[in-house]
Amino acid sequence: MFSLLFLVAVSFGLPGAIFSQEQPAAPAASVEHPALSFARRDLTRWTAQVEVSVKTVVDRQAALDAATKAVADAKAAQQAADNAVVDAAAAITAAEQAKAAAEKALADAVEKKKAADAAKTAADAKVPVTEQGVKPATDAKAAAENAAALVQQQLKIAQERVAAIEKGPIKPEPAATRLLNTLTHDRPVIACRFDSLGNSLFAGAQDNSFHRWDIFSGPMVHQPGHGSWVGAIQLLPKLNQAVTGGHEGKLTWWSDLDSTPKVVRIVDAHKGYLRAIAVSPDGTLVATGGNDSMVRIWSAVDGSLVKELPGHERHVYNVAFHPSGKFLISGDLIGVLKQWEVGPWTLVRDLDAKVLWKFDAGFQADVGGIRAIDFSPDGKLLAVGGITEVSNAFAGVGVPAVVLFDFETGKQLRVMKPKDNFQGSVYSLRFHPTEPFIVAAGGGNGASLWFWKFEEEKSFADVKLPGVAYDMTLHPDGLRLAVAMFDKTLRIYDMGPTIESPPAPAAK
Amino acid sequence: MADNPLHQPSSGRLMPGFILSMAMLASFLHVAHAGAEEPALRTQIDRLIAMQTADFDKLAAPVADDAEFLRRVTLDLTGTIPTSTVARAFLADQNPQKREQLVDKLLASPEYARHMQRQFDVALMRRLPQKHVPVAEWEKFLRESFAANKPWDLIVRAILSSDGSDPANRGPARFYLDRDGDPHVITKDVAKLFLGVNFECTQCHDHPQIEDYRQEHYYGVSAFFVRSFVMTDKEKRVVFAEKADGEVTYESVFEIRDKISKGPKSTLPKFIEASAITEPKFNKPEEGYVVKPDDKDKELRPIPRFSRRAKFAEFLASAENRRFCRSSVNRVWALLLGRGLIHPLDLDHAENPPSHPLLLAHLADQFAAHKLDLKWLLKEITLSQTYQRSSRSANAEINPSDATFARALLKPLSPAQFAWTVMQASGEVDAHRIGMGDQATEQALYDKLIGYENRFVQLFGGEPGKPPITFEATADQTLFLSNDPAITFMVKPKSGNTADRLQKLPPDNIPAIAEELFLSTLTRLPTADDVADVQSALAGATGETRTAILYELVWAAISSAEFRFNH
Amino acid sequence: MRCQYACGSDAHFSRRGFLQTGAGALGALGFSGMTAVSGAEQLASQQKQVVVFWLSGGVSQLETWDPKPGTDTGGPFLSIPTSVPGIEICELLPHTAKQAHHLSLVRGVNTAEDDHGKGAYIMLHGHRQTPGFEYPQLGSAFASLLTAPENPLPGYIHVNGGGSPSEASFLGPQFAPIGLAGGKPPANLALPDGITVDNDRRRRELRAKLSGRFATGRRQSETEAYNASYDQAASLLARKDVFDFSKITDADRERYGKHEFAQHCLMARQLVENGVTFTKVTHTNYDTHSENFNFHIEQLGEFDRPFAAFIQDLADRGRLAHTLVIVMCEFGRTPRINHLVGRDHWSKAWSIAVAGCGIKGGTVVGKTNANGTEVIDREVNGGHLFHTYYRAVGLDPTKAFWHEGRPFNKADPKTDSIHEILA
Repeated sequence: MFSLLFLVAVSFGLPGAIFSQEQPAAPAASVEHPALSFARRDLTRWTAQVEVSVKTVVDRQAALDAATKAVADAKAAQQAADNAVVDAAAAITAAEQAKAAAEKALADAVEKKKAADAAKTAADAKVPVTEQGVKPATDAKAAAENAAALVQQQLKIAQERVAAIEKGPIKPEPAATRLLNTLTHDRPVIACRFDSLGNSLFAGAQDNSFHRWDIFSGPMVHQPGHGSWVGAIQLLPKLNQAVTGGHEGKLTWWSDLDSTPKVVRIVDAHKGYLRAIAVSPDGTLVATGGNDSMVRIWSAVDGSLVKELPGHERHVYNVAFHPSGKFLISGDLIGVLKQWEVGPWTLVRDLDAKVLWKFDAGFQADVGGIRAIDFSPDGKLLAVGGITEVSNAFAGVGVPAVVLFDFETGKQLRVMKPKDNFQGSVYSLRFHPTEPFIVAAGGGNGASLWFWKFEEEKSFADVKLPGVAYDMTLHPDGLRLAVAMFDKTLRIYDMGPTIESPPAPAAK
Repeated sequence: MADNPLHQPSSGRLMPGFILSMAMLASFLHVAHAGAEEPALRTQIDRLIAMQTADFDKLAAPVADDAEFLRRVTLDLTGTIPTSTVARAFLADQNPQKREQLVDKLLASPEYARHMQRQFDVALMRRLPQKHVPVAEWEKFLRESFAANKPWDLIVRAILSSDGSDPANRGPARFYLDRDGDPHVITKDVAKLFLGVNFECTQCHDHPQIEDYRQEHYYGVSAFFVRSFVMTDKEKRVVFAEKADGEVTYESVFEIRDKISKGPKSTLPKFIEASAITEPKFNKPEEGYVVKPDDKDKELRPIPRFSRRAKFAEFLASAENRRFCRSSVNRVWALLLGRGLIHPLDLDHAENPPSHPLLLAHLADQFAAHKLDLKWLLKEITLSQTYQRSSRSANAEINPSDATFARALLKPLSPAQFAWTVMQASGEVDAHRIGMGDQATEQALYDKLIGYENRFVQLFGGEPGKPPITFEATADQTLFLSNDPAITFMVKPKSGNTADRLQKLPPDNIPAIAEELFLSTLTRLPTADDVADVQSALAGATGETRTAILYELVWAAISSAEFRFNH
Repeated sequence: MRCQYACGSDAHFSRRGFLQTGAGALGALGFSGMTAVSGAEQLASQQKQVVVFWLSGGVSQLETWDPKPGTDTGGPFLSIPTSVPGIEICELLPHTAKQAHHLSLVRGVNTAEDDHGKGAYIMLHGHRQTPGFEYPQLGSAFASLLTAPENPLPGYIHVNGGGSPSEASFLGPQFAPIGLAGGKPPANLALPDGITVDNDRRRRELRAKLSGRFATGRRQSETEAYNASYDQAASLLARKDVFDFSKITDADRERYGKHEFAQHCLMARQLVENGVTFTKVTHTNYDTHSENFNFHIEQLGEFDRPFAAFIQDLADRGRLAHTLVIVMCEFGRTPRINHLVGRDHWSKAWSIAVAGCGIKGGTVVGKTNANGTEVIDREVNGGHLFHTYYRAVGLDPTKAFWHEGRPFNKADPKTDSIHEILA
């Protein structure tokens, strides 16, 4: 485009210079014959042409030579390339052989490394294994030393207690309640009873056995006799036997309580949990309650069914005989207490402890129940325990409570609660056999023993426990109690007056 | 103290669309200004709308008739429909200025303030549940502000500077306090509401698709709120307090993931592309306080010498803040036209330019020039031809896209609008108005009938905090409208209501019955087809049967698609 | 490039360009063209139905499908034999035990999520929540895939529960659950007093005429959606007998039980028999942080008999073969028994049960160790379960939902179905 423009500009810019019509004038001198001049010119031109043609021949020869050489060169190159290909192929073969060798060497090395690693791992493992042996041995020795110290300590406490009592009568001092001894198990303990002499502690746990601890010599005996957890224990002192109830619904009698308990008989007592057992004051009758909503009365002697007491609409959580032996009380999940007359087994009346129950609409479930029950020794008062003011049913948030009744009138006297804002449930309660107070154990957010005077709503002494207590039993001396605990222990507490500095046994 | 960052040269990226549109607008208006006087905004709107679309005149629907306009503008400005009496009078009015007169009247009514209160309550609070401030106090603040036509920047500034410490004026503090003072929630909501920016993604990283939305921007806004916290003061009032120290830090989760992060960054407070604010430096931390915080006195409300939050309110809600003006006029435009010029309202960025950039720029300018006068803006828009176009095209072949604004869009009635429109159409409001006589003030009627509004809000208003963003029609809503006793109670003939009026008209005067029915419910005269329907429905019916048919007619009108939308 | 990262915004996606926002919002209903089911496949699965029993709060696997009696974690209950030799379940389910030949127990579930909300999300969506991706829930998904177009009934009904439209997500509100709160039928199913069926028909005809005339020349997507809701309501009304539970016989009530859950199971049976695609029955509550055993006695005592009767009835009437039944919840409960004799949240090794359509009954898959603290064989998560549910009803879980050009996997592509229990 540019060049064309240029040409146009040039051609139009110089008019006439190229396309001029005027011819220049011809030269004047012309002496030779025109043919001669032509011939001369021809001679000159041909001469020149000879030179050109000769040069052309030479040139062509040169080109031919060059072409010939190029063919030769190409052929040489071809040959060279062929050679190179052969060489390279040979090289590849050689390299592949080398590679195979190297790979094998690598694999061998890896294998060797693996073997070496394994050997090291084994060696590494062996050291801690052997070291592991040291620790149990050390621990066992320490435990033995601890136990020995504990025995020394218990001995000293016993000596002091003897000395104190020899000076005059002593009474329990709830506020001074302190840990005396700790017995350990491998599952949470859910039920406990002292024997009538206070030598043994019988227990049920989150396993299927009946357990006995000799509280002096320590080691436990456990005897299978149930298909599920053992949640209820009572003693039959006159028969020197015990009865236990399991969550599978069976009622089991045990003999040989001083040594290794033996099953006397097993009775299918309830469908679902057997939750509670009570023994009549004369020792002849055993009452049970369970998840089939039934109360049943059994002969303590032969295990025969004496009577079946239907009437509860929900699970029966507890049973208790009146100290007179004339009445039985049973209590259920929804806070209904039923009073039965012993003998004719008629229903005398219902008592209302619904404050210990709630139907939680959010969770669509009943919460609470008569978790604990006891009569005062004189039979005038009835106390039941559990949880009230439930704010979160499925997290078990509520207030532990004991409901106190005047038994004669059936009137609810008061609802007793902890003095602090403890959250949880009462799981067990007892009237003290001689002193005017109720002791209860339980837990939830923390765990505690609570002591109430009959006429007060707030507890007068709270003793913190290191784990939730599912059951509690009083020692026949009226000074000691034991609790069955979530932390896989039974703990024995001393309510007796302190002498000098309070003992602080290193319980482990 | 602090320089207004909006006065400073921008350090960030200005929106190119914005620069371009300003330049073009200047030249356009120059031409337009060749005459002496500046044309009214309503005229400019129509000119700028038409200019944007080729063949606009062919696409444009005709201007709505008086009836369509009356229903539309009454719904848009007062949240309900007019009575048949008002409609009849408006249609008969021969005054050429009657549309303007109507708009003036509606803007002056108490119903206007209530309707604006509801619209802006939903926008500002998303139906979040009451937490620390009674909803009624918040509503009262909004209602009184709109009634007094308080400039929009002052309303927003009142909200954004309220901390709840003034017991007499806790209403506006609901914005912060009922969000529990959460700086992230507040950052996202103020950006969405007042800056037209959706910050959802940018809390954790630059927006993966929108180049304009950067994490740095998010934390620039967040930095205004990072020092604020909710506390209970000595008077047991929950207030939004502020400390004198505390900075934002952020790190891109993408950079962390890709292991290219250079560690947490920080930024001073700033508005998107504007530069950071400057703030005073104090030698010792305690010098930064008028009232120092006290670790031992948790109820003592600290007061900083320099409040970032106060600066936010001051700089954000201002005619000088271009983004604020843009997003504000865009929101008002969307309220009236059913779609923003920037659409959606919270995606204002270079790659989502306004459908009509010149118009948006001009609206923002003019709104600022008129001191953010809402009533003026509403009036100018509603009196434009653009607003007044019919929702029906001249023929069915013409189907302009929404973004041309060549035809009015169908706006679904809000739950409250729907409730009050049903109550007005059925004559429930009329019946109460008659019953209450002189006592029938807007407030009194509201107090009487709020229960119905609440039921509609519950059924149509979505989940708290998440009002529906699209039109939804569900079976439970329709069953409610069809069979709920509350609706039946309103629609069935009873003294003073619509069916009752129909019943009392001469039974053989079908045209009169049809006219009253259609004016009462759909705010228009019946067509020949409509009259024929009424005729055939009522033919030969007497007594109970006729009563039932009158109910059916009113119900059919109220449940029709025509009724469900502001068209 | 689509954003694949978790930051809780739908603004990542073109959805916001499609739907509108702000006051006076409009927008088309966005649920067309999202299914990827071929015609033949859909036809084949149209007769399939699904029932979910949702044991809210998290039932204990140890007290139901995977008992460990006698161990430190086993609790007090025994295990009992079932109708399938070799398979034992907890003694709290004696009636269910007799239906074990219909059930398949999946004992190796590990969902690794101990939060109620997040656990429930996994079990009802097949994977963890991904902010920004609004997946439809199982009920809405099956309602959309399995419901024949001519079926007038809602595809997803939740007995004893509510239902949020958000469960359907992009599938659209017609696949959102209709909640029968407290087991009550939907509100306003009865015509108003004094309005006869004739009145109702006439008023609807009038409204249809009016609405039709209005639509001409206007933008129609919203008016169509509105009119469709009246059609839907009308067909619901026409089949309101489905919700009339008064006809359930006393004999059935006796057999199932008198309590609410038993009634809800009978309602579910009626809904299934009437062709409702997806029915969810919620039984509350199993969140037993305290008193786990007492509460399980109560709750499973309610669950066992009516659930077993439901399975039996479906089997007897030939419906079980095309009805998939799933018993699930947000997670299981800790093997460890806590100080309140409760069990806490536990998702690492738990169980669900499935039965019916496409399931090989009388089977167990997966295994936990001796005291149930970990899965030792055939561990599965929500993804495996979802593959299995889809396969069981004859749908291909590897074909994603498509919404606005973006695939939404029906089941986690990194997992596969539990083929051992598929028939």
